[in-house]
Order: sequence, then C-alpha cells, then structure tokens
Amino acid sequence: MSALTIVERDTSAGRGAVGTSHDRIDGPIKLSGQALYVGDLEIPGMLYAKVFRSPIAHGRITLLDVSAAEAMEGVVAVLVGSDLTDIDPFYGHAIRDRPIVALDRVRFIGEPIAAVAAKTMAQAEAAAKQIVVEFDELQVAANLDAALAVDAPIIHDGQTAAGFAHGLGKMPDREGNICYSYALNTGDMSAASTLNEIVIDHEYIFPAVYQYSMETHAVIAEHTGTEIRLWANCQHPFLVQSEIATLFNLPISSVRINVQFLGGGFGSKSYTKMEPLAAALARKAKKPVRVVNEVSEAMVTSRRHNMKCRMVTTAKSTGELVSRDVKIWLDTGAYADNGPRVTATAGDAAAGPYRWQATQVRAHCVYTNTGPSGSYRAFGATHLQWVGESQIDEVARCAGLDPLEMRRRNLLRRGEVVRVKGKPLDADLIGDIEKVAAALGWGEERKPNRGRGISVGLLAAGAHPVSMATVRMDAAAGVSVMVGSTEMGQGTRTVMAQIAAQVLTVPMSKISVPGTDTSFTPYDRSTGASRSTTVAGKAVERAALVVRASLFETAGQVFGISDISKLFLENETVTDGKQSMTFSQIITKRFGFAGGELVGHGEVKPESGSGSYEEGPVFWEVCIAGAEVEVDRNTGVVTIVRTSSVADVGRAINPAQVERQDEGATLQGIGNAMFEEMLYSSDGDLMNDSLLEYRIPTMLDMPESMKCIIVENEDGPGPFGSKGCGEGALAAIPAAIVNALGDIGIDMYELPLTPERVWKRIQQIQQTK
Amino acid sequence: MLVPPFEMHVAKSVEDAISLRSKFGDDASFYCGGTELLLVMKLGLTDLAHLIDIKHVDELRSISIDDSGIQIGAAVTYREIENNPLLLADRPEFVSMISGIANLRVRSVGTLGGNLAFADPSSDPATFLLAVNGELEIGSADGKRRIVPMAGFHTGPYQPDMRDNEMIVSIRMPRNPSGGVVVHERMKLKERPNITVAVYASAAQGVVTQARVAIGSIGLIPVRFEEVDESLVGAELANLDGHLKRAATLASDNILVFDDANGSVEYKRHLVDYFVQKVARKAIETILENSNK
Ligand SMILES: Cc1cc2nc3c(=O)[nH]c(=O)nc-3n(C[C@H](O)[C@H](O)[C@H](O)COP(=O)(O)OP(=O)(O)OC[C@H]3O[C@@H](n4cnc5c(N)ncnc54)[C@H](O)[C@@H]3O)c2cc1C
Repeated sequence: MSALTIVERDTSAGRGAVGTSHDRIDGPIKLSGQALYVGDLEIPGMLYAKVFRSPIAHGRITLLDVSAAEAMEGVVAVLVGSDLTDIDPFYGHAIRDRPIVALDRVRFIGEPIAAVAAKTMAQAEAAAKQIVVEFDELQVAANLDAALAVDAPIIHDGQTAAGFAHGLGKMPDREGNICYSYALNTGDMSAASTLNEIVIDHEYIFPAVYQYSMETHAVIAEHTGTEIRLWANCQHPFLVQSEIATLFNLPISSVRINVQFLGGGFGSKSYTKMEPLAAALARKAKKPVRVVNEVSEAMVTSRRHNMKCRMVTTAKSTGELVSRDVKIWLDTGAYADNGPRVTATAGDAAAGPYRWQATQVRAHCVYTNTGPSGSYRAFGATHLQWVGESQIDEVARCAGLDPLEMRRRNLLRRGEVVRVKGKPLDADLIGDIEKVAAALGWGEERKPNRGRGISVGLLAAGAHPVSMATVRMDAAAGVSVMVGSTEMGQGTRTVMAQIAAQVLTVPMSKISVPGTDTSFTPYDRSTGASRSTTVAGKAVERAALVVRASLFETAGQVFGISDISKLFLENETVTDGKQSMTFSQIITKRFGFAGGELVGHGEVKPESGSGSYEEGPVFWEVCIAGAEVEVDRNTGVVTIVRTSSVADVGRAINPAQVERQDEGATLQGIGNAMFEEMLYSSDGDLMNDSLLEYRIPTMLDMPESMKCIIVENEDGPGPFGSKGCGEGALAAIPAAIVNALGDIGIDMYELPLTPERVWKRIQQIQQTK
Repeated sequence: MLVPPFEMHVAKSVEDAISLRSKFGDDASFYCGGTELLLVMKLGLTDLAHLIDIKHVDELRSISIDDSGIQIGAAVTYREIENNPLLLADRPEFVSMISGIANLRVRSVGTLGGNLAFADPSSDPATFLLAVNGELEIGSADGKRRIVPMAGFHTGPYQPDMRDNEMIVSIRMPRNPSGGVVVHERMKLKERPNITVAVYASAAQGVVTQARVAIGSIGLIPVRFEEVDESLVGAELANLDGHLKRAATLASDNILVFDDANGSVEYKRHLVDYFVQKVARKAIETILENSNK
C-alpha cells in the first residue's frame, strides 16, 4: 500500500457541479509528486545551458571571447550576439527593444551576453566561467531619479518599434528614458480648484518586488530547422508562440509549445521570457537544450515596477471630493516588457472609483539600468490604490468623517462611468465595503496601538477577450476539455471541468483537462488579468453547449421529436420526460458503432467594439479589503492582526478556490506592504537576490484571522454570471494596512513598512507635535 | 549553482575527525548538521573536496548534567536539546532560547557546535552563553583538550578562536545557580535575529549583586561591556529605572554597529537601548522579587 492516501473525489452527478467546492483535479498528481514540471522533463539528447550574464549595469562590449569556453569538455555550442545576424533579434510584446542576447551593449547586471550548451550542467557551468568579456563602461542610471535627471545616460538611443501586442495606441516618441506615457483628464481642473477646502499633497515610494513563484523560469527548446518545439512554463503560450514565430521567421503553426504545470507565476512568467534565448541556443546546438533560471537569475528576469508618485487630492470641508492630480513614474528596468500596460493600468487606477469634478493623471514608464519589470498580480492597481486610498483617509480625517462614511458619500454606484469610453461600473462597491468593514468589527472599540483600515479600488480585468475551447465527448461519455488556460496553482483546470460538468451533467471524475499543446489546444490569449474563469470559462461553456446540441440532435431524431427545446440533460442521459437515452447510446446510435465522438467548439470575442483596452475592461474587478494592525512603538514592528476581503465574483464556481485565491492574495499583499523590497545599489547591483536577504511572508506572518466574503450577484459576463477573482485582495491589502496605521496617527508614504521606517516616522511625528 | 562533487568521510571519534582534518587540510571541513555549510557551498563561497561527517561520534552526541555543570556534545541537535527533560528542568530559559532558533527543519539537524564554530554574527546561543559564563571544550591534534570561555571565543564575524585542526567537543555552562536569573530575548525580522539580548542577574537582600548583559546579533560579534554590567550592580526596585537607563545608554554608546540591509546605525543603537532596558528589567525584577520572598 502506498503511504499516501488519496481522497476519493466526489463522483456525484455533474448537475450542481458549479457552486460546489470540488477538490482540485490536479491535486492527487501534485501531492504524490507525479506532476511533471519543465525542470523534471528529459528530452532525448537534451543539453544543459548556463547563461553568461553581464557583471556591469551599463556598457559597450568591446571584446567577447568564447573560444576557451567552446573548447571545454562536453560543450556543444556557445550562443553570442553575432549568431543572430540572419534574424531580427529584438523581442518585446509591447516595445521591441530587447535583443535575445546582448549585441553590442549591456543595460543591466544579469543581462544575458552568451549561453553555453553542454552535455552536463557542471560542464556548462565550468565553460561559462571561461568566457572573457571587456567593456567600455557607461554612466549608470540605477533608479528613477538617476534616469530622469537632466544629465542622465540615455539607455536606449534611437527609435524602437512597437511590439505585436502593444495594444495601447500609437507608439509615442521617446523622451529621454521615458519609453511610454499615459494621460487621462476629466473635467476642468482650474474650475475645480476654486472649490478646494481640503488639500492633501504627498510624494510616495513603492518598492521593486519580485513575484517569487516557487518555480523559476524554465524552458526546453528544440529547433529542427523547420520547426521549433518548446516545453516551457509560460503563462501565455499562444503569445509566446507568435513572438517566437516572428523572431525566427517561421509560420505560427511551426512553433509548438507544450505547457503542463507551473509552480506559480504571479505574472513572472507572463509574455516571453527565456524562450527566445533557449530557442536560439537550440538552433545553434542543433539539439534540445534546457534553460532553468536560478532564483538570482529569475529576479533579474522579471519583477514588479517600483514607483514614485506625487498625488494631490482636494475636497470640500464636508468631505465631498473635488479633484485629483497624479504624476506617476514607474521603473521598468532596462527593457519595457509589460511596462506600458502596467503604466496605463496604474493611470486608470489613480482616480479610484470616486465621483470627481476633475482629474488629471500623467503616468510615465521609465527605463533604468536594472532588471526588467513586467506583470505582477494586480499590477498598477496595487501601486495606486495604496496612494489614492491613503489620501481618501486623510481627507476623511480632515473632514472629521469616519472612513466608511467618507466612502459611502463619494463612491461610484453601479452604472456610473469609471473611465470615459470604458465599461460602466458593474458592481455594488458600497455594499461590498460595508461587508468588509463589518467583518473587521468596524464600530467596535480598538485596543491601544491598534488601528483599522479599509480600502476600495477597481482593476481593469479580463485583458483582450479572445479565447477558444474545444470540448470532446467520447463514446463512453468521458469528456476532455481543451482550453489554453495555464494551470499555475490557481485551480483553473478544476473550474473548467466544473463548467463542463454543469452543462453536460457528467460527473467530475469523467472529465479531464489536459495541459496546453499549441498543436491541439485552441487559442487562448493569456492567463492573467483574472480572466480565465470569465473569458476562457465562457468558451468552455459554449463548447459544451455545442456538444449538448449534438446530443439533442441525435436523441431528437430517435425520439421523433423535432422541437428540441422539450429535451433536457440529466445524469448523462437525454430525456424528454418520458423517454431517455444515455449519452453512450446516443453516440453509438449516431455513428453506428461504439465509437466516434462529439466535438464542440466555443469562442469568445469582443462583444462590442474592438475589445481594445480603451473600450474595456471585460469586467471591473473589485479590490476591497480591510485590516487591523498593531504597532509596537518601541521597535516599529507592525503586526497584522486580522484582515477581511471581498470576492465579488458574480457566481463562485468553486467557493473554496475563491477563498484560497483571496487568502493567497492577502498574504502576498502583506508581503508587498510589510517586507518585500529589491535593493539595488547605485551601480545597479541587486543586493538581496536570495531568500537569505529578500524577505517574503511566511506562515508565521499570517494574521490571526483572514476573512474572505464571497459576494454572488450573478452580474458577471462569465459562465453562470461569474467574474474573475484573484487579484482584488492583493491590490487592496497594502492600502488597508497603511490606512490602519493612519488610523492611529502614523501616516506612511513609503513601502514596505519596515520596522525601522515605521519607528523613524513615529519619532518624526513625535518631534513635530 | 551546483554543489561541486566532494568526498564524504565518516569520523568514528574526535581523534579520527581531527586526524582526517589534518590530512586534508584546507580542502576539508567538518560537516555536522550542514545547515550553514551546505548553504555556503551552494553559494559557491567554498570549494571543498572533502567533508568530515562528525554526526556519528558518540562523544559529540552526549548530554550530561552533574555537580560540575551542564555539558552538551557539539553534535547534539537543537531538537534533542528541546526534547531533553533534564535540561528543561534545570535550564528552562536555555531550552526556550534554543526552541526559538530558526525553524523545525533547521533545528532537527542544526547543532550548537555548528553554530558556535561558524560564528555567524547573529547567534542566539553565543549571546546566551556569554551571559551565563559558558565555556567550550576544544579538542586538538595532539589529543589534548582545552577549556576556553565563550567570552573571547568569537574574535570577529565567522572567526572562532580555533586552529584548523581543532574542533569543538562540547559546550559547558554552570547549572542554574541558586538565586540567579537569566532572561533571553530576540527580535527577528528575517531568518536570523536582528538583535539578541541575554541578561544574567543575581541579588541579595533586595539589591542586585551581579549582572551580565550580553548583546548579540546586531554587531560583529556578541559582546558584554564591563561598565554596563557594573551599572546595574546596586539596583533596587526603588531606583531601578535610573540604573536601567544608564546601562542602556552605556550599551548603545559602546556598541559597534554599521549601516546595512538590517538597519541604520541610529535604529540599531535604539534597539540596543530598548532591549537592554527591557530584558534587564525583566531579569532584575524577577530576581528582586525572588530575593524578597
Ligand atoms: C534558516 C535558518 C535560520 C536560522 N536562524 C537562527 C536563529 O534564529 N538564531 C541562531 O542563533 N541561529 C540561527 N541559524 C543558524 C543555526 O543555528 C546554524 O545554522 C546551526 O546551528 C549550524 O549547525 P550545523 O550543525 O548545521 O552546522 P554545519 O553547517 O554542519 O557547520 C557549520 C560550520 O561549523 C563547522 N563545524 C561544525 N561542527 C563543528 C565542530 N564540532 N567543531 C568545529 N567546527 C565545526 C563546520 O565545518 C562548518 O564550517 C539559522 C540558520 C538557518 C539556516
């Protein structure tokens, strides 16, 4: 007997599958260690790669000599920039600014300059040590201030092309190191200024944060000359597929990507990361090659943008909000990655879901000589909700209003405009925030040194709504759901199975949801932006409905009924109330033998307009949370006592998974607010590139109580009225924590809230009293 | 980064371990719980061809408590200390200090000997032992043993006062002296403590007669300052505040600390001031209450 007992899954009929907390269908193979991740795979003949990375943050390469490395035992190929002269070696979905390996210049410490493929990892590592490189060093701009200074070095000269998924209108001309700007104006600022009675004006600093998924970036690439095959842990296989096809001048269908499981993503594996380098190295080696980042390498492959923000919020003395003026600078590192989109999202989140006379937002995406920043769970929204919501609380304090009452008076209501041209508000924010406050014991007396805070915001969710799915029912009524959503721990496969089970009344045990193989799995734009359940889930629902229609068609013929609206499904049978046939019988009847299958295809595309960012989002993800904190004024140590959050999901397909998403997001938000901070030296060196020095939250940092309230108004565009979740609590928690400190007189303008920062602030406040 | 290949030698006795170490010289290191050593190897900071496993040497694995004091073998794990009823009965504050180290995984294999030999600046045990006048038994190549005080054993970060072919055999401390009190506290923001303070105090007739204040995990090595210890002698409940303030000021003025990722000099001095007062207060109030009974 095996030592591991696997709990039998509930095999009750599918009807009612939606709304039940089914066990994860990928749980047993993960718990028993059978799930294979990219780092576990062995492809015959596979070589191992070691990337040789830049030791300096900015410079021109004057000499690169890999001959000694090439001569080392076991080495098959060493990739360098000059191997890429037959292709356009630049990639980047937003801005095509990044070479596969450095060509003549390096822009951050850790930028790949060369890569060795050898028969063993030890040989690859030994050979990489033999590479000789010399530079003409250039001035380094390792932070926002340095990159925005008048005499700053220009990190990218010349114009760069828009990437294939720029998606943000015309590429702007670059000014200095600013690679993208986003502006948003409403109302008349100067007219509004005559109404100002309360003015809150501060500068804020948000740190660079690493996503810290347990698994780092990993990819195996094979280049056969006419085809590229990748086994990768990418969140967006189809976007990577088209980007690789463009880079290597191949038809999209000649790039085949296989994605099984991800050991977490949180945005770190969104868009293209190590895949071009792996493919180029495999092309040169003419063998499959595996590239796996170490943690220190992963940290310079993707991170969250650090930010500087200046915000001015004004209000009448009654607490009625008047105007908001925001300037945002986001540090995107040496390459744009997803920076432009993060910048736009931050700009959108800046005003918050409030009624204003006028707003003015200027958001800038800035190059620096540090590792590139990209997507990170709840990007942009987390940054700006913290700033905006702490100013709302300051206004409330000036106006003598309770923070909850302040929000009741100023929040947008369902149907009001959030962003001109975009989707109007599709949620009940006041109802939601009241629930969160109640869960925190809002009106109850506070113990000494304990404060409570709440925060509310919206996140433009769904990305571009393009997803397809195929549902196949075999002759024994087993169902496979082919959908391109990447399982990265969030439980998407279970949710997709539940949707199909619900439509087809098939038990969960008969449904399989395999990983993605772009050769067989239909297109899905991406896994991110809280979109999978809503968008890809809708495609699954539609595909299942097509299968159902086929069942009705054959059963109708057998029953001699032409009006199929009289038919319904029940426990794997079609019935009209009098006669019934099992699915297997129907399929046997249809094909004349016990074989064949029913195949349904479902598609989701923009329902109105182009589905562009401007016209979006698919839905507004509600970001609402509350926190109670306790501060030790002697040390500055802040303890999170309890949190609450609301998952306004329309319909919870799997309530337990919704709760786990909110809990994970809460803990990650606590990390952002309290501990996490990538520290770069002025010469661009990341000083805390391992868990020894980079502090992430642990189980010991869990609040005593974390309450997730699920709100089901069936008002989402997804299947069964659902809308996505998973990011909202993360965007909301830092603001709630900061507001809880503000509640006891400690206003903080810089994250994370390290004990030293809090202690110094307490000293400062005492001195000015 | 892969750990480069190495050869493992299992030592049978202290003498065997030391002779293996002498044979391989700088190419070898003792290997006990490996919680520090393997980290260092994985980071590529050392390149060792031989590891000498000392976990199976009986002499290094024993715990004894008798009239001469407490003796704990260098290879005894933290977990074994935590689960030892005799230690718990005699030195509960020592056991509670040990059970607050790291996490269960580290404590299951990590050892007192490994901690003191590695001499990481953030050491709870080294600070504690300083406050209780702990000692170490060191074994040498010539078969001789010497006993050295904890005070002075760490000469700098990662610098124990041992020669290459010497090893820690056991750690010793007096049994809980009648009437004496030890209080240990730490503040931990990352994996390792950011400050550890341990205070020993004894009293007679409601007056402090002796105090030893050890401050660790914040400077380069755990330290004690004579003037701090002396400033607490003579304290009584009535004038305790003044004594504590003076001790704390002397400690925070004297401590050698640097700006780094764990904090600024200003904050670190403040922590020393605050924790010295807090821990010394706890120790002295307890001892004075006991001595009044
Ligand atoms: C995650 C983590 C958290 C930690 N938190 C704390 C904490 O909160 N407080 C604290 O005080 N410490 C902490 N530590 C340090 C911990 O106490 C030490 O890692 C542990 O005690 C080392 O023992 P070991 O047996 O594993 O040593 P090893 O790694 O086996 O050896 C360490 C070094 O000592 C040498 N050595 C070992 N034994 C002997 C001997 N008998 N004689 C001579 N040399 C020897 C080895 O050659 C090596 O150089 C933490 C460590 C980790 C990894």
